[in-house]
Amino acid sequence: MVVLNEQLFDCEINSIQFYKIQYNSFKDNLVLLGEAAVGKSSLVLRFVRGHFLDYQESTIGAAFLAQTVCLNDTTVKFEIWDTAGQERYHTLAPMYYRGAQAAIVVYDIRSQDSFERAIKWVKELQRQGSPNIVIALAGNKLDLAAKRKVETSEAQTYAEENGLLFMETSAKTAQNVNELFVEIAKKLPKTPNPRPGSGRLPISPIDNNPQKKKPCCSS
Amino acid sequence: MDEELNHVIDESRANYLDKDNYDVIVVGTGFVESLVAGALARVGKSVLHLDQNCYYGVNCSSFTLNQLSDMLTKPNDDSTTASVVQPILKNPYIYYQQPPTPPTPAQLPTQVEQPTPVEQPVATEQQTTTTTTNVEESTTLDTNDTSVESTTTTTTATITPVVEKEKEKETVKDVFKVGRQFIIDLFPSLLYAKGALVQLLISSSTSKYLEFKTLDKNYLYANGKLHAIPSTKGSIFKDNTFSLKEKRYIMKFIESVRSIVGDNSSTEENNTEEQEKQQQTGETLESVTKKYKNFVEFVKSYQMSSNVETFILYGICLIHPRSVEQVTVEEGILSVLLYMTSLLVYGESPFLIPYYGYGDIPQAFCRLCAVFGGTFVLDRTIGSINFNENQYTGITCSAGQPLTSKYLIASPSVLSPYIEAANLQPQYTKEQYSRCILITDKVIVNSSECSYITIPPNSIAGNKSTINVYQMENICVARGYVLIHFTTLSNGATARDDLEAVVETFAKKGCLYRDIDADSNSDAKDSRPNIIWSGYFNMDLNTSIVNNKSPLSELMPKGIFVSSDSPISASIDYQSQINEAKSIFSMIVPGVPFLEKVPDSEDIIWNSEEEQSATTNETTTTTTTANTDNSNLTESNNNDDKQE
Repeated sequence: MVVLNEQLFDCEINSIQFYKIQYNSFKDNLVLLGEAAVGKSSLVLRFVRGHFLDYQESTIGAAFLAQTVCLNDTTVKFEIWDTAGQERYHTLAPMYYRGAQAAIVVYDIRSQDSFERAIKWVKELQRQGSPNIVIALAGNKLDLAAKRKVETSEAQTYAEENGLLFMETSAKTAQNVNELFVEIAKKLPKTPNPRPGSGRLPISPIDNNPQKKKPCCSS
Repeated sequence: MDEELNHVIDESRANYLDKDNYDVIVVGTGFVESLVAGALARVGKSVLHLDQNCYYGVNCSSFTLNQLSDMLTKPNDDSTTASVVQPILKNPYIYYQQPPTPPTPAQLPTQVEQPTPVEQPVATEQQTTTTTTNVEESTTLDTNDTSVESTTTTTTATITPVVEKEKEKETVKDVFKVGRQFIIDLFPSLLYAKGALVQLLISSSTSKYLEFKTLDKNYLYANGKLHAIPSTKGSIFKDNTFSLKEKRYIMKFIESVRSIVGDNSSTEENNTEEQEKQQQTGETLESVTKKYKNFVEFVKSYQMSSNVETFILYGICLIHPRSVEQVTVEEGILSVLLYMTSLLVYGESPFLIPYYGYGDIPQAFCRLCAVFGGTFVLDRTIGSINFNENQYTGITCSAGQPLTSKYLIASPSVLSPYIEAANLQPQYTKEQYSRCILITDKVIVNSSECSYITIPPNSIAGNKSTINVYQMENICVARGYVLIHFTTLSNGATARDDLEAVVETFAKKGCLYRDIDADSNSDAKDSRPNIIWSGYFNMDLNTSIVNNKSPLSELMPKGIFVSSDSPISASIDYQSQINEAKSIFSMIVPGVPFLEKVPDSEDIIWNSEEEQSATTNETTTTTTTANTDNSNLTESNNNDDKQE
């Protein structure tokens, strides 16, 4: 009736991009927690890149990797978050594990302290994490079992009591590393999560710059 | 004896950091500080980031209900450790579930409050419940958690509006059981979808650490009613607030604002129209800035109805709760324009809300800093600052460890005890804000879960300044509850004086509660929200007087830079804070790009090596290992402990 009104709130360019919101692009966030130097990064590097460095530097510069796990009929894409050294002085930002769907809490089987710290992390996750978070407890450095301080049975019992996945792993020999991630992938809900309060969206560079397109979707 | 002494020394040094020399020490994890820290680490500077509190964010922080309640009930006690001192929340006052008679204004609080008799049982009950649940938690936490949740939902749902004391207590107890599911911002704000901060989050790759939700609706309170601010053509047609004539006024105004700024966002098709507009007005930003004293005058020059003026001044031009007369023509025009360009970018609303609260934004930049090697220590601050003549050399931190660095960055509230700078304070405006956090069982504006309401001055109980109201449901809040934030600029009055009448209006008189279809329905009364818990407090914020020509830091001893510690901006949409961060950054590393994009791990996987080295900033990241088949995790130098 009043054609002029059409101009009132038009937003020519933007309205096209409105449809580009990628609601389906959610990946499963997986965080690694644990005391410094228990081998969080090594586990990830073994899993993602398939190799191991004897002297892995304290994590700097990356701390954010993506990897796809193929199960029989589905694929699970992990976005793996490393703590970037923020755990050293126990200053890991709560933001880090808030939206995570899965967590691997790592300890060093040679260190009772690291196991106790791991238990603290499990409690923290149960308190602050997503309600349906999948938590795995990983006793790393199984290749150094000769110097073991944390008994398998102790950790196993704790994990069972708290409904955690449990594995002893070695990033060095790759023992149980893939298995650990695959077990987690199996436990994650297959359909996109019915997320609390739908409508979450990541802000991605949908603004006016075609160069920013992702090169390709991963295999 | 000696051994004992050594032991004592060892004990005191147990908290020492491994490394005592850094390029930059940043104190306070507030918005500006976090931005600078992230940017500096990004270009390879070694950064130590301390915070006097045991949480991130300073004034830009988020808390659970239990934490906030503790902060408000425990009076400031300087004798306790730094982590417990909460100097930022003044005039605390907690109130829950109205006794039959409303508190008379005569009960005005002088400072700390009377809630002790009521509060005490809650606190203990809360402790006991947490301990009991802890025991249960050890077995099956998930089921336990959901059961708690569901019981609360049912109890709150069955609460009758008739006030029964027993039930009230139940309600408060219940809400504290799920209190940790609340994420309560000390100072909530709005992010424009096309605003400076969102752009920076995207361009710096920090957005991948965060998730957002669009605001559902934006309201203006005028003439005793709430008016939804339409954002799409469809809703404009339906809108019955304005007459057709008024709609045309608004349209004209927006067109002319666009032409004044020379907005080129219109497509080709509109070019002719655009030119016409240009001819019509012929104004530029400079000419209107000269012509009109402030934005109000500018808007008035269009001679629109007062309805429309209010709509533009308070509904579309959203400046933080300063007096509208202080808004310059330029600020106002840019704000209107930003509002327009932000529409329909991520959803109907031009605004985004962080999914887990505003506290995550500084944390995201801190994480960026950590990812690039920054060290973070909370609950530690400056003990003293060391100088060599007028040159800053380092600090002795509160744990007693001497630390050296080339630069120190901190906010006035951190620095002022250590530096006698007559010139420190005048560069900052100290503004007091009044806040109220309200938890209800029902929404105040039904139909929309997350809403933002602007209440212009003199709308409810003679409010002096604009009041901003946020309603949050589904995010940042436990199921079955609604979290409502009230914020206003205070003229020295307590938060309770400033806001209680408004809160009462919301909850009791229900005049803001707009039940579109059921206005005449008798059920409408029952569906009014009940106050379950409310907390009032004041915050003093040092807002930088943005004046890039004479940065405050120039007046400081060499090597010290001052950041403003306000979570709100002097200008719209964090632009001034981002500018502040940029200017500090460029004084430390001149000519280096600020917060460049971090190569995405996915991009790296699929790029060839050459391309990658082009995208990766050599100064910051060096690829360590050879490119094995699928990925190139970037790592760098600069380690101080070995990981397996």
